[in-house]
Formats: sequence, C-alpha cells, structure tokens
Amino acid sequence: MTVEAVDIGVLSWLILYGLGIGVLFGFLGVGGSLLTTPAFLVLGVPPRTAVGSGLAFVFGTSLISAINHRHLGSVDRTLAAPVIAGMTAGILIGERLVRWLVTLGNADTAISIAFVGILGAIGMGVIIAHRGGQPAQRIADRVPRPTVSGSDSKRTCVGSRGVTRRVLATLGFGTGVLSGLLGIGGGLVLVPLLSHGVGVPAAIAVGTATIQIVVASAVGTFVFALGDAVDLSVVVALLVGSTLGARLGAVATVLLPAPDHARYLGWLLLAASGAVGVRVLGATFGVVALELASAIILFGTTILAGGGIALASIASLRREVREGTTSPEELAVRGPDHP
Amino acid sequence: MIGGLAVTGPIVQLATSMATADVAQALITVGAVVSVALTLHAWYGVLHDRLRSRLMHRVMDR
Repeated sequence: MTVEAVDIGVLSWLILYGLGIGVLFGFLGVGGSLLTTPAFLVLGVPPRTAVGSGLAFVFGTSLISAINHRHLGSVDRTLAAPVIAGMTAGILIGERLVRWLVTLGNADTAISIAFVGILGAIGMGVIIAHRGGQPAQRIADRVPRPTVSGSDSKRTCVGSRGVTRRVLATLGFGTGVLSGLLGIGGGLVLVPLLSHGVGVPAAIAVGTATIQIVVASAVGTFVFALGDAVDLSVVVALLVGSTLGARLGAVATVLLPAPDHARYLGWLLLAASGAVGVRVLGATFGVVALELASAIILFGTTILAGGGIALASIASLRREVREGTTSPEELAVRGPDHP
Repeated sequence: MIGGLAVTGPIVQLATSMATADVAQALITVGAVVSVALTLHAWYGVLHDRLRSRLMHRVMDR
C-alpha cells in the first residue's frame, strides 16, 4: 500500500475527473474503468502502480454496484462461480505479465499501446455496430456461439442454451488476463460475451458480471498491493468523485431523452485511445507538448462529457418542474436509490 | 459506514496478526478500499434522499 503525498491541486483534478467518470459510468452503464488506468499513465504514475491502482478503483466501484444488483436479484450464482474461478486465475497471470514487462523495462509503452488498441477497437466496434441506429441484437446474430459439449452433469443451464463450465471459465480467464494486465474491470468485454455469446438475459449478465468483477478485482488489488503497487491516495480521490458521479449519471438516464448511448461511449473510447496514443508518441520522441496534449484530451473529454450530461439533466429537470409536467409522485420515484 | 467498519475491522485485526508484513499490508489495502467505498456509498445515499425529499416538498408547495 502506498499513500503518496499528492499535491492538493492534483487531488482536486482527480476528484473532478472521478466525477466525470462516474457520471459517464452511471449514464452509459459501462466503461468507467477503461478511463482510469490511462489517466494514471498520463499523470506519470509508474505502470505497475497504474494498473494496481486501476484495479483497486474497479474493486471499490464494482463493490457498490454489486450491492445494488444484489437488491435487484440479478445475480446467477451457478453462472458466476466458473467465471470467477477463470477470471481470478487470469488476473494472476496478467499481474505476472506486468511484472515481466517491468523487468524488460518497457511496461509503460507496452501497456499504453495495448490500451490504444483495445480502446480503439472497442470504440470503433461500438460505433460501427450502432451506425444508423442499428439495434444491438444484430451483433448478437453475428457473434459465433460457443459449442455445447460435455456431459449434461457438467452443463450449467444459462439463458437460451446450455454451456459447459469450462467455456465459462475460459471466458472468465481471458477477461481476467486483460484485467490483470490493464487494470480494467472487464465488464465491457464480459457482458457482451455472456449476453450475446452465451445467451444470458442482459440484466442477469450485467448483475452477474458485477459480482465476478468484485471478487476478481479484490484478488487483483491484493496481489498488486503485495508488491506495494497500489496508491491509495489517488484511488480514494477518484472514488470520492466517481461514487457521487455514478448517482448523478443514473438520474440523468431518467431525465434525458434516450439518445444513442452506445455511440457516445464509442466516441469517448476513441478519444481516450487517441489521448494514450499521443502520449506514447510524446514519450517516444521526447515531445513534452504531446504529453501535455494527451492529458488535455483525456481529462478534457471526460470532464466535459460528464459535465454536459449533468448540466443537460439539471436543465431538463428545471424545465419539467416549470412546465408542471412532473408530479410529486413521479419525482419521489425518479432517480434510482441505488444507481 | 457501519457496514464498512464491520468488514474492515476483522480484516485489519487479521492482517495485523499475520506474520508477513507484505500480506498484512495488502489486506489492509483491500480493507481500506472496502471501507472507503461503503462509507461513500452510505453518505451519498443519505445526501440523495435528502435532496429528493427537498425537491418533492418544493413541488408539493407550488
């Protein structure tokens, strides 16, 4: 555990950035952790600490989210167990990979390039899939289904088709390696795999993935903390902002007209990918201006996007109250208690 | 907050009684994240309820 003496100005920025991440996470439902580790890297946090602190942040946010999902009853324990086992093993492997990259001396560049690729690929994929308002179900039709094999006793019945525990554990393992290597929750990978690939109902996929992420990120936090690679001061600052932001973002989903949420997320991920890419170029060629530009792109996009959603929500609420279209009863139930 | 303390307390107690300092430190880190997250969740929950209640009263008074 590390508690660095962080400048109060940096802490304030991190709280504000956490608020932006939280609003976006609450509004879009996914992707919060994808913006955390890149921010640590842009701030110059050592790569291993950036990944470890990213996982600790994921642990804190997913824990709160899991409490809410437990109340909703959207967790399938039969489904969760093999994925948790696979994901935990994957995180341990991912941590080893980071350790190995650090010994090679190029962990920072390797992790940053991995982020550019993954954020860019997911961002482009989301934008293309939702081009022209195309519904998400069309992707599901194109995703190859896992082959059902093994005896019935080994098969766990999930969603519309059965799938072996081995397949579930493999899905969890792959996601876990990414989590341990990049310090992300993996929800953006795991939820589509479970819902579109395996056929689990979307609500159950989200709730179950949250529980899996809690357990796996707790193990990840522990493993990275063993090597003193978790900076609690930056994690707490981000949690302070993001916990409040997630509530605001969840309320915004009720207040604002249903936009094409997924496309917003796609553009945001592309911006984050560009920011990390610009930073890699700046570090490679020793151009300080590029490194500064990457920080401005990443922090600016997130804070402006989060702030825009918050301001639009406030304006919408004021308009509704002024026009008298919101009844006290509606207001009483509006905004989930547990976003 | 009570939930946070209830979880963190035993973890810290266990951690401090462990022989390996690294393991103890790692457990304290996990406990600290749990404690902070649950405390923030509880605080913002109370704040959320108060704001909503205020807003509701304002609409009812109109």
